[in-house]
Amino acid sequence: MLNDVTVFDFETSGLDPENDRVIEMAAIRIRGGQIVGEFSVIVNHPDIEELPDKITEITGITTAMMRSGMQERMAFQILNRMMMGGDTLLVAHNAAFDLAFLHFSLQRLAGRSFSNRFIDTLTICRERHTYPHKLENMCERYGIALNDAHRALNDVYGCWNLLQRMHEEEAVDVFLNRLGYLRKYGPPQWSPPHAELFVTDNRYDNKRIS
Amino acid sequence: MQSGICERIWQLYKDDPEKFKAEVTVYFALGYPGWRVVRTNYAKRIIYLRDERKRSLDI
Repeated sequence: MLNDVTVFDFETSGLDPENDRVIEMAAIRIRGGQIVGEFSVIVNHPDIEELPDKITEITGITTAMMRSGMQERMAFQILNRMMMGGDTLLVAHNAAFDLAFLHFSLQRLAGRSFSNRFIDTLTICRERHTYPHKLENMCERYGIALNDAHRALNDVYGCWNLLQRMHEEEAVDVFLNRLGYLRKYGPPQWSPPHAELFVTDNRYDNKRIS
Repeated sequence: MQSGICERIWQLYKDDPEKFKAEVTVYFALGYPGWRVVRTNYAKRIIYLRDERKRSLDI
């Protein structure tokens, strides 16, 4: 199941995958248990005059840092090369968010999308554990060191370690291409055509509460 | 690890190599503290970094 995996993470200029932009991306590709590729870059967007203060506060990425970042098209070309070649399984925490940004970015830049299988570690966490389920919460629960959360490469390593630990406990195969969404928020704005969506609730002390 | 920078800095690669090195060093010290620039590939526009964070903790 986890023989060929690409774990990735985006930091973005906002929450709208159609109109906001990826300002940092990171990915690691793992084959046969070995990390065979590692990529992390801050992405420049000349048309973004100033990053919102909130985004800088969350990500640590300033407008000045973004200005010296890599050109968007080149960044996605490199990321795309990492995800191609073989049937690599895409993995992210809250994959609905990252996959939507991946889709709309590829559409805009290359006129196409992706077709990889995927796994969402957030979906697994909601099904197996009580709230809270943020990546930093889950890493703490599993004793996984996570420094500087919300910097993409750190989150990618945290997500990979989390997936491995959860897979060791119980195989994650059943979560292939499945996206759970909270009832109160409704289904994601966009999801991959091959995704199986299902409604779920946060659990607090073994009681499901909507 | 592979990373990258803006074209403005890449333009210095041939025009002013010392300034190129300085700007790359400053950029990654700010953006990726603890990572050291080990190699640059101008043709592919890739910068290769090494994670020095664990090494700095070794006593």
